[in-house]
Order: sequence, then structure tokens, then C-alpha cells
Amino acid sequence: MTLRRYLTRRILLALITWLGVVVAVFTLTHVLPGNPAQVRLGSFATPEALRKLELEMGLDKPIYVQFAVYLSNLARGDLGKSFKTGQTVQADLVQRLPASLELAAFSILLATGLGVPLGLVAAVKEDSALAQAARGLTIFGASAPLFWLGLMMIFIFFYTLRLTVPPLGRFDPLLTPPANVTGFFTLDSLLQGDLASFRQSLSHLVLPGATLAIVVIAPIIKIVRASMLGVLDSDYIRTARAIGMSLPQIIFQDALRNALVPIVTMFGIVLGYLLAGNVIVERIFAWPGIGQYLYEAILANDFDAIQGTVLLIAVLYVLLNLIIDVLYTFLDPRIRLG
Amino acid sequence: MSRLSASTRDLSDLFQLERVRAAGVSWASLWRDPSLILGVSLLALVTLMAILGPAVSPYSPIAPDAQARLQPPAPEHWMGTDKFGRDILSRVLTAARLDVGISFSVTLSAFSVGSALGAIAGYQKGVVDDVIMRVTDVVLSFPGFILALGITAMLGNSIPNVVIAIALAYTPYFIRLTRAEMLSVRETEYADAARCVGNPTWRLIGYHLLPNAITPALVQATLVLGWSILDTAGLSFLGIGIGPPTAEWGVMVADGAQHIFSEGREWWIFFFPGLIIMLAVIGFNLTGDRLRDALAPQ
Repeated sequence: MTLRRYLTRRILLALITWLGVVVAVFTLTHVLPGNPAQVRLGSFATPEALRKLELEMGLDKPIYVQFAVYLSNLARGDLGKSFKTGQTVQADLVQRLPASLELAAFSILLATGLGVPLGLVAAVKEDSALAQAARGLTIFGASAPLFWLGLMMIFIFFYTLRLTVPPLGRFDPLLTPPANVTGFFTLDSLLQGDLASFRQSLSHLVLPGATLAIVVIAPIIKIVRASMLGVLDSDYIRTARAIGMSLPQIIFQDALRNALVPIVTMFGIVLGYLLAGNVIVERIFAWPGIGQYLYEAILANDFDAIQGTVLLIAVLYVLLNLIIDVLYTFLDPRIRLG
Repeated sequence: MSRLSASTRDLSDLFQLERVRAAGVSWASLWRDPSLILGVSLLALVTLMAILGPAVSPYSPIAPDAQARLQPPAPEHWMGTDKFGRDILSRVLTAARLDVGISFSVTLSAFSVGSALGAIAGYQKGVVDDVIMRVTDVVLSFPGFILALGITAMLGNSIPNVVIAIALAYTPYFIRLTRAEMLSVRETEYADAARCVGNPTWRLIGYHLLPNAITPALVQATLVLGWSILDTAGLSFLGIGIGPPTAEWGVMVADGAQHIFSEGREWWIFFFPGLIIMLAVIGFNLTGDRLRDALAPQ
């Protein structure tokens, strides 16, 4: 199969999955036993009020008509209106997405910066103290509840050691955040050459970012260690050793490059995880991203907002998987395009 | 596969890549493995807590005691008390049965439904397989925790709904694992033999083939037991699913969260329930990882 045919097929498959996702989100909110009007009004609503809202929301129409209306709204990029913020859901999401992405990007940088070297050490010097520490970190990160970890970070680094800014949001509420260009406060402040703002936004990123990083560093260390071990076992590395190349030379020139395919793949998976893990971390650190938005929408029974946010997350998630698959074929020419 | 909650089960694909270094780990060497010993001991501890919890609790988990409010850990209250004077240790012990019970219900549902669907998909191939797998793909397009969150929010807060929501998020993993095994098992000679003597299809799948295709799903179940504890606690931490005054680990952490922001900094209220969650999950993770190395090397 040629690359072009493979790509076409893969993109078509993603489109089918997207359609499935839309159906699933619709099912979640319209077909499941819960009545959206009832959910919005609460269990003490009078039958009259309930019927009025059902009419207003179009819930009296047959289910396929409701689905057609939903689809045509989606096609126009209309995700409905949040009655809590009074804005359209798409406007709300556009406003909040950069905050989530910035947090995800920061924690992935942090986790990679620490995790890749630790994974290398764990593979090359298996009995060293650092390798043991890496192993401990893997177990800890894979088992600690995210919400508990976040509270521990706040308790230790803010309350006890007084090392960080208050764990509230992205920026000091009394100061003006940098003008919006990318929506990433760190980037925006750098673009304007405003170092004070840059420090301010970075200091707010540290605690929530580190919390997420501890969780995602576990698979990073594991994957780097495993793929390095696989490569180090191979014949060409033995040859490189036999002809007298030094260990660092072997690692950085030969081994790491070949171990890179699974490592890069992992980035996508970890990024996908960060999209979901954010609900808890954003809640704890009052981070104004889409996770916090979803949480508030659920508490307020803000129906369109829940639906829109879940849809956005799933669509991004499928897109991410598509990108990984395509990247994979570029990184490793041996992968059969089947 | 490996790693926690639906929130993070997506990372699990990675762990499949980790190879078993020495192929064919023997049972004898397995029992000398310190991680397995630690894992199994933690599991034993958690199971004991779930069985004996209420019986060995020194105090009532729900009765308030105005004299003993917000006591730090001390000989009378090993883990301290909360704002109603309730003993944290007693609440942690009582909650074990609920949390572990939910996690077993989740895993059992996801395991049985998932392996049955996977076995059918893998054996029948064709249209049935296509339909089951496309639906699986769609469920997997949602980060698991988000899916569980959405379903619980729509169905309403209750323990059965939490179980349904989390189980649904994990079912695709069992479908995929069992299907993959089934695809190879159905081509074996003993499958042919069983077919030739005239076994009906359901008997062929259920009696002859499934027992030989179930190991990966069983190993996965050990890991899902741990992850679903994280999910349950995560949902109730957010106030979705199980709420106060129920003694549940996530509810207790959420309860304690207010106190680290307060003047007294009563850290013990959130610390101990979270610690117990972590120990339980470490137990399931270590055991599951080792079992996979021994039974189902990738």
C-alpha cells in the first residue's frame, strides 16, 4: 500500500470514529434514562415547568428529529448555549482551551526532561541508586491518586515550605495577564518582552504542572527504559561495543535514535491522558481550563456545556491518535502500511 | 497493559511494549521476587480491611463526638479525627469494604461482558466482529475518566451508577484482549477437533476455546481492580457519585481538603485516606505487573 492510500484510509477511519463519537455523545445526553429537562430543573420541579422546558428543548420531538437538529447545529459549529455563563459553549471553550493546553504542555516538558534521562540511567546502570529511585518513582506515580497528590503538593510546597505562589489559577488576580495572542500566558508574556508576567505565569504553572508530571513520568521512565533495553540487546550495539566505542557515544548516537519510535508515540498517549486528568487537577488548583469548565457544568447541570466539552475532548483525542499513527509511519520506515 | 484509572488507562498501551527480559519467568523465582511479595502483602492487607474493617474499627465511623473534634494523630486516635470528631482510622477501615467492593463489581462486570463480546467477535469474525470493534473504538475515543464522569452525571449519583459508568469505560480493554487471543485459538488443531465431533458453537467457544484465551484478560483484571479504586475515589472526590456522610476514601480526601486551607492545617484528615488508596493500588499494580510477566508475556 502506498503512503497516500494509507493516509486516506486512516483519515477515513478517523472520520467514521468521529461520527461514532457524535452519536455516543448524543446517546449519553438524549437516550440514556436521565431526562435532561429533569436534570436541569432538579427533582422538585413541577410537572408543568418540566413540560414547558421539554418543549423548549425540543425533547417532545421524536429522537431522530432531535438527532438531525443536533447534527445540523454541529455542522454550523454551534454547540449550544451555556445557561451558566450566558455565552455560547464554543465561545466558552475557545476561551478556556489554551489554559488546559498550556498546563498539559508544561507538565509534558517537565516529565520528559526528567523522565528520559532517568529511563536511560535505569536501562544502562540497572543497579545504581538513581535507577532504584526511578523505579520507586514509577510505582509511586502509577499508584498515587491524582487528587491526593495535588493536595500533598499544596500542603508541602505552599503551606509548609512557602516556596510557591498561592495555588489559585493562572495569574495573580490583582494583576493584568498578558494581552491575548496565543492564549498561553507564558508565551504571550515572552512575546511582549514582559519578564515579570512570564515569571508570574510560570510560578502558577509549577505546582499543578508538577502534580501531573509525577503521574505521567511513570510511563515515560518505563517506556524509555524498556525500549533502550531492547535496543541495547541488539547485535549492532554489541558490534559498536566490540569496536571500542564509548558508552555515551553508543547511547546518544545509535541506541537512543532507534529507541525513539515508541518514545515519541508515548507523547501522544500521555498528552491524551493529560486532557482527561485535568478535571481533577484543574479543580484543585482553580485552573480556568476546560476540565474546570466541565466540572462546573456538571455541578450546575449545564446540559449543552457538558455535551460540548465531552465532544471537544473526544474529538481532540481521536485527532491525537490519528497524528500519532501518521507520525509513526514517518519515524519507522519498517512499519508495514497495512 | 498496565496503569491505573480509566483516567489514565490510555497509558496502558505503553506497558505492553515493556518486554519480559528473561523469557519464561518461573513460578519458583516469582515467589522470591520482592515486588511480588510486597504487592501480595498489600493486597492481603486491603482484603483483610475489607472483610474485617467494621469489626475491628475502634470507634463508630459515623457517630459524631463533639469532645474529640480535629484531634491530631495520637494513641487514642491513630489517624486523628475529623471536624465532627469521627475517628479517621475507623472511617478508613469501614470504607475499605465499599471501595474494594465497588472495584470488584466494576472489574467483574467489565471482565465478563468484555471477554464474552471479545470471544464472539474473535470467533465469528466478519460483520459481528466489525460492529463490535467499531463500537469499541468509539468508546475508546473518550478518555475513560471523562466517560465515567459524563455517564455518572447523566444517570445520577448512586453506587450502582458509578459501577456501570466505570465498568463501561474498561470493557473495551477486555474485548480487545480476548478477541486477539480468540483469533489465534480458533485456528488451532484442537479447535478443529472440537468442531469435527459436532460441538455446538456456544459450547465450542465457551468450553473449549475461551479457557485457552482468557489469561490476558485475567491478568488485566488484576490491574483494573486497582485503577477502578482510583476512579471511584476520583469521582467522589469531585462530589460526583458517592457523597458524604458515607465513609468512602475519595469523599474523605475531599473532606480533608478544606482543612489544609484552613487555619489549623489539619493534614491528617486528607492524608491517611489517600495513603490507603495508594497502598491498595500499589498492591494491585505490582501483583498485576508480575502476573503478566509470568503468565502472558507480550
